[in-house]
Amino acid sequence: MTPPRESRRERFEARWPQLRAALIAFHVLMVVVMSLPAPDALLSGMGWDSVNTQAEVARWAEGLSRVGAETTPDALGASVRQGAERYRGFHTALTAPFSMYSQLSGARQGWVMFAKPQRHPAELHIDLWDGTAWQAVYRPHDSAHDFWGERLRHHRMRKQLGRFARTFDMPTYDRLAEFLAREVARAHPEARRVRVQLYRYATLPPEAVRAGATPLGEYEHARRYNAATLRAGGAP
Amino acid sequence: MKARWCAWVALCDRREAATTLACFRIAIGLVTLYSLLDVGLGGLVDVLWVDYHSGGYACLGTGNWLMTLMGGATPPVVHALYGVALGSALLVTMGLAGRLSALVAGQTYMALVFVNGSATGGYDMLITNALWLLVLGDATRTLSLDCRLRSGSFVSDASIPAWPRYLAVFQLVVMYTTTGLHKLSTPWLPMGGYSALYDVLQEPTWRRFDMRWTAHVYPLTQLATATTWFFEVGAPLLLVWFYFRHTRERPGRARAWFARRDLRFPFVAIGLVLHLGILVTLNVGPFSWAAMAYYLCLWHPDELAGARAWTMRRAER
Repeated sequence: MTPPRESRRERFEARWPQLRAALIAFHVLMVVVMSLPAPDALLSGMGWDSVNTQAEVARWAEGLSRVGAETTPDALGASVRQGAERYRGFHTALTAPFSMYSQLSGARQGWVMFAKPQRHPAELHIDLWDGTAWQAVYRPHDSAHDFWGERLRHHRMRKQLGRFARTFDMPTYDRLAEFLAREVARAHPEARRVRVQLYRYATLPPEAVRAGATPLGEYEHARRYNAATLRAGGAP
Repeated sequence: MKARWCAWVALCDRREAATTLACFRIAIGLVTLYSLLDVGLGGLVDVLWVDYHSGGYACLGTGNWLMTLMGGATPPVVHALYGVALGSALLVTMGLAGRLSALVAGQTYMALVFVNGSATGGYDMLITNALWLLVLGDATRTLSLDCRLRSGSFVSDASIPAWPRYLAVFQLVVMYTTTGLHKLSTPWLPMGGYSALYDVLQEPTWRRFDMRWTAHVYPLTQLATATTWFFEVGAPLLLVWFYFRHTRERPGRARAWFARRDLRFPFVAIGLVLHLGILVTLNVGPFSWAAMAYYLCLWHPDELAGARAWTMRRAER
């Protein structure tokens, strides 16, 4: 007597624990592989030209030289960039089988958080000219000059503004500066000109703060707009 | 190798009560709602997620597959996605429509927040990862409207696969470990004097208020920096602890040492102090809430039930 033939469903159910274990293993591998440092984070994402990164590379070069691995900031920076370029191919091959699943499912990885604390922050400052003097309309953490209030204090806007100090993205900065200048021009009919700029300074060491010092910085990336033109212009 | 694979298959076959995953679902649903409402009530939906050519401030491109399919980051598309994301996040919290609500919430949330890569944070990934795990797991088996519709009661003793909870724990450990391993800049290390947290607390981007006072307690910030770094890179010890507890009948000194201790309590204690500290001093969005939601998954449903019974007994006294 021949045994009854297994139905397709029964065969699937018998194999399901193995298949499920394989799929879960795939997910686990994806989480590990996709959380490895991305080469782009070491290349474009580092902001190699920024003051913060240059200072960090200098500190590492000094530290390595002290323990006998003689190097200079330029040589160390070049080595890291070369290493990241070589790593790119390996990383691409490793992540290729997982990237689509990660992107589509939402199980994205990439946990670079406060990896390189910003010691040279850049604050966004906005001023208007009423025909007689420049008047401050926005300064971070200043309730007297709190244009757009909650909106500019929102953590997502803070992230955008914080990125200008790290990896300055000129097109995005220019668009945001114009966007905010237009909002200022509309909210302040007395404004003739609007100025948007970054105020960059070095974080003071604790000794200096305890001694009562205040950080002094410099303005950069100043953008000036004619308020009437901004008011007349609609959406870009 | 075959024995290890069989052990893995057996681990993936384990079942447990649905309480922990249901609590995780409710917590993540609330965090997702908070994250979305925070943007909406702040009047930033159009500013952040609408393309420059349609009134936003940034050139965003067409977005992910869903945003592209719907026609790009224009106000009607973004508003529709925002409404659906908000509605589905509410359904996730209430436990209605099972895996479908988590899938819709995850996909619409992703379409919105990742369209502007300059305004995203680690919490967005924690949220989308969690929503995907809720798609994979049977998270509305209890403490849900689905349960009420199915059985006439909000609670059920039915068991569900345990592996989605294990994956949530694994995700939490990977998040901490890799963020710790990325922290190789000098301020996080002895050669930089452990100044990282002091530096972060001075940065206008993140601090909630004037933090110059931390200069007067600088050694404490150094201690907090070192603790944070060791806590993050030491997170895999938690997985070792789970493994040793799972195999406690086997011999070995390390296994016996781990078996005598519950590593979850110091882990959660340090984690809670870290996240509450972040909540009070820094404005980094719902990151702490999202991370703490994952902490729920560290506990087996029976342990949660035991803790609930203990609390009830204490309350009755």
